[in-house]
Amino acid sequence: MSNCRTVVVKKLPESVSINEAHQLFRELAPLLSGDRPCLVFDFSDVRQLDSAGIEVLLRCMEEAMKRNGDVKLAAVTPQAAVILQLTRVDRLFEIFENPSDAVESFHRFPVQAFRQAPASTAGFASEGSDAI
Amino acid sequence: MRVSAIVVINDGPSPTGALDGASQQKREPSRGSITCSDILGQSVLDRTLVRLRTAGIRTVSVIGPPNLSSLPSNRETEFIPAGNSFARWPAAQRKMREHGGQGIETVLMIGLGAYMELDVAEAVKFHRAKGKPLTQLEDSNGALDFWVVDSKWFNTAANGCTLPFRYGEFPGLPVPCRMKGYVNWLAEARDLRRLVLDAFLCRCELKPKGREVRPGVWAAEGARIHKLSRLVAPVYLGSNTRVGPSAVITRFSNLERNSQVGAGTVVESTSVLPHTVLGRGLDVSHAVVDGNKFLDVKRNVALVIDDPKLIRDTAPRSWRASISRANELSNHASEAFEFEYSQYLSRAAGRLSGVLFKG
Repeated sequence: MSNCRTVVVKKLPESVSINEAHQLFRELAPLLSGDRPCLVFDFSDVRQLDSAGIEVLLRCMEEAMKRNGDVKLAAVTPQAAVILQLTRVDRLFEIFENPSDAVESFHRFPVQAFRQAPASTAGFASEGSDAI
Repeated sequence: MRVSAIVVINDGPSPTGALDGASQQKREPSRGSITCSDILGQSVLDRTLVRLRTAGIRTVSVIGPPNLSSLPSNRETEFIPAGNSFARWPAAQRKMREHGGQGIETVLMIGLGAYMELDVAEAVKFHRAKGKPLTQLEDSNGALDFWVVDSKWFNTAANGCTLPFRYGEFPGLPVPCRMKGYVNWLAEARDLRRLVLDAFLCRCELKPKGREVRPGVWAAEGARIHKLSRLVAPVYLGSNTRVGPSAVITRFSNLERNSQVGAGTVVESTSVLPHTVLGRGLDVSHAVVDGNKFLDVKRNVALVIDDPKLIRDTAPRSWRASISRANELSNHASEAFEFEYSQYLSRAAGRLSGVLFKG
């Protein structure tokens, strides 16, 4: 289905804020420069996220979309979820409970992941369970 | 043994039913029953007819409003127009006698209001095993408008009875038959949203009508998506839909045929019914939008919005008059306000565009 060649999972550091954002984007730039880049951000360690971090996410999404690729988020912690919702950026990304579901979603639509997502994941994948 | 079906389209509560009073006051024609409107590319009526054909039922009569938006497209399906629900059941009664006259022994009488995934063959088998002339299907929420009827009995013992059948009219009838399949009563907007969700999550057999262009994104023929728009799975785009630049269509949204989403508009967990246009720079979430009718599912609020710059209906000829009337009215409004308003929309679209595609 998807023509993504390989899916790269990038584990984000505990803090994705103004001090780390620039360096982070420089690290990610080569991953986004190829054809159809497929990138998953693993948020499992992220405790701090600010507007600079959000901007990095949006820039990565923009670069990936330009090259017909995509960026997805996984294992979003409650702290990061609050910021993503506050900035309404959550609606721009597909968000999964764990990186393997996110990787799988590049190849086929992971129905089970959406069905089973607990409401505690801040209403992202949990849409399927309660939000109408 | 021959089996036929008579499908009577119920106009009963529709997702936009709460607005019917308001639309009558404005003398706008009703957009009709939700069972005739596309849901993920195909109407409940069409899906029901397919299910009946798959079960081997060849003779099917559909009794519904004259302005059916999706006419049954099979030569074995007969369509009988009847203006309102009062005229439909007597028409069904006549049709039932006709089927009996053709030598058909068992007739499925369906009052189509709910979306039902029932095993028709199992229902007929149950009916025959019981040896009673009238069976009514039911699910866990109660009796459905779905009966299995012996046409011979209907033309003799039950001659003169009025449809739909009611409990107590005939002693010991109808025999209830509990079915297991998925049923959505489609009684309100929330039910329509639930049906879309259930379909995306494969909780029912309803499949989006179109090609899965990438995982979780279905698009029907002629759907045009701007390069700078963003689709977040699962979403459905019906035939000839248009998604403008910087628009975001996200999670569990469905845009039905000929609908349009303006630049910078965000559509989240929303059903946009056929021929609906959403303007620029809007934020539409947890809603059902049908022409100029807007239902906020979370707030349980229904509105008729007569500003064509926000939402409007595109297509049917009969609606164009009302839209042009609305345009005429808005032209009389202050030109200064018009200018300010369009400026505001442009700014809103620009802001989102800036956030999304900065640099």
